[in-house]
Amino acid sequence: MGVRPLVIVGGGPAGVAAAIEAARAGLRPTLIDEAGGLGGQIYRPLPEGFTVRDARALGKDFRRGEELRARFATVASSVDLLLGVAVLGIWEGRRLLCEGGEIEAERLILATGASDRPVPFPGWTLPGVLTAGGAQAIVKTMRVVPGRRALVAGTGPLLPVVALQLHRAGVEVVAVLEAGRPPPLLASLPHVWREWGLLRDAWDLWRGLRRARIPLLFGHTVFEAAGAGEVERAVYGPVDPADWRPRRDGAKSVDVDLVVTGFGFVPNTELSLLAGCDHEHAHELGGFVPVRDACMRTSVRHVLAAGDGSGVAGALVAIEEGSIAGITAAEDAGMLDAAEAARRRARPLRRLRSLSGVRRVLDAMSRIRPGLVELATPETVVCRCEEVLLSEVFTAFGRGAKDLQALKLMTRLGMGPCQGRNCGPSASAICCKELGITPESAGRIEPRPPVKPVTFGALAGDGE
Amino acid sequence: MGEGRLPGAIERGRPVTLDVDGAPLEAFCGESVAAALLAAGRRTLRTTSRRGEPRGLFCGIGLCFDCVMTIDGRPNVRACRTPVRDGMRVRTQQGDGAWA
Repeated sequence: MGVRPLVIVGGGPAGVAAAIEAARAGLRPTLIDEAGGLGGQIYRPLPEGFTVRDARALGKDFRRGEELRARFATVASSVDLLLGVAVLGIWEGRRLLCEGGEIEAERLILATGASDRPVPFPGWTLPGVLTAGGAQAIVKTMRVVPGRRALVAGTGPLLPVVALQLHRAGVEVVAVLEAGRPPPLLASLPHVWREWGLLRDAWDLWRGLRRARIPLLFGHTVFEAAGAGEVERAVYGPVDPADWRPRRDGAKSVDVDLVVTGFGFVPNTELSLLAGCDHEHAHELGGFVPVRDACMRTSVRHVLAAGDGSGVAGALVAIEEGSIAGITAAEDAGMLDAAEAARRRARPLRRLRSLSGVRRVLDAMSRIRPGLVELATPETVVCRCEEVLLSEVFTAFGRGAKDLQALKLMTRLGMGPCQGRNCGPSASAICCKELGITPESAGRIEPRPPVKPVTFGALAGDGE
Repeated sequence: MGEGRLPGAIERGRPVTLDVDGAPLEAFCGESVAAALLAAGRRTLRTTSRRGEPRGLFCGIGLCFDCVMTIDGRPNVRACRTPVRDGMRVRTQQGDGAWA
């Protein structure tokens, strides 16, 4: 196949919405996703081999995912769909190295999504500690129960969602620990009143926790997971309201076999970095994000970015950003004139403005505070792949390391198969706190192709 | 069907049998290796190379590479992203693992 007019990387809410708008405008997109189905992490479809018996029992997100897939079905004949294909690198902003060969694109929309922000604490490598996203994948998609008695800790609206999913799956949830403080109701109303649907979701969650008798503790978090070989108990307690540092004098122990942590999300920027897009650090968007204009264009011509991968804001925002990116790509390709493109973008832009109020309120509660890095002790593993301890990071600081790149060279932190996805954000926070520097000076663990480990056979496209 | 599996809502695929460290384990088409092991109460999937520590499923979506096992003779395969197959040989991985 020759040069494709538009390649969209990522089949979550943003990528699917972008494909729908591009196809509607007559620009044929190629939509690529590593998974076997569309929907991304949040609207993940059931695996091949499973059939739905009772869609209602699968919950709201499954229904929303089905709606998105149904909308996609109306344009599916105008889209080239490549599922089960990982994109491993980008050259010159338009040549994509994929499992099974190379794809050349005239223009590109990156909709790569986000992943759980890892926060190291003693015992977080024990089997039985799961990220919130991982717990959801197991319960929602695999329909398997990951434990019997769980503690759910972190920050943000995903915590009560996961807690209730676990509860409905028969797991006893001993508590939900939200590190932040509850948003002040009256002061929040002017920002959120337009979003009745979201307010109702929040109310349903609150009522669900009450009914399930799951305590929701604000200003608390998990301090430690412990056990012989697997999680058998957890220590938790209050955090400082200003910077979330643990207040160990208030620590309590509880017997659990499952600790689920969800400290928000980090944008997956490997591909936008490899594409050469300018990035900036935006705390409220989860870290480094590609710089974009209101039409989703990045600093690299022909490359657009949309959804959580270019700033964490959730699925509803991702859908609108994806739509805008699809329309803009069609405009840039000459399929829509400027006036028609602006007309089509007006509705999603309006929705984005309305949703931004909700985001401000959530951000006030859930913005990650610097004291969280004090959860780790010198013996805590910071880089899970290379088993680098916090004490080794301190040693590297003592020997003059001043940023992530130096830490990587001196300790091997970030050199394992996850390529720093798991340690980069927390190591950056440690640098900022210990060295008194900004995230910009701490820098990044730069991605290198292939961004995921792959065999030579898969690169050569031998069907491996 | 294994107490870790939720009843209702969905119909699983046809049953298959895995060989896990030499012992048979029943699973269902559509499940990942990690899900099938978790459903049987198995949470430790490997031990690390430097400190010999147990690890299991962590991110669950294929990013962290903590759930890697030796599957059908190939080391460092993510159990969370590998669908079960009848007769599949699944081995707890020690350290970096080895081709077998």
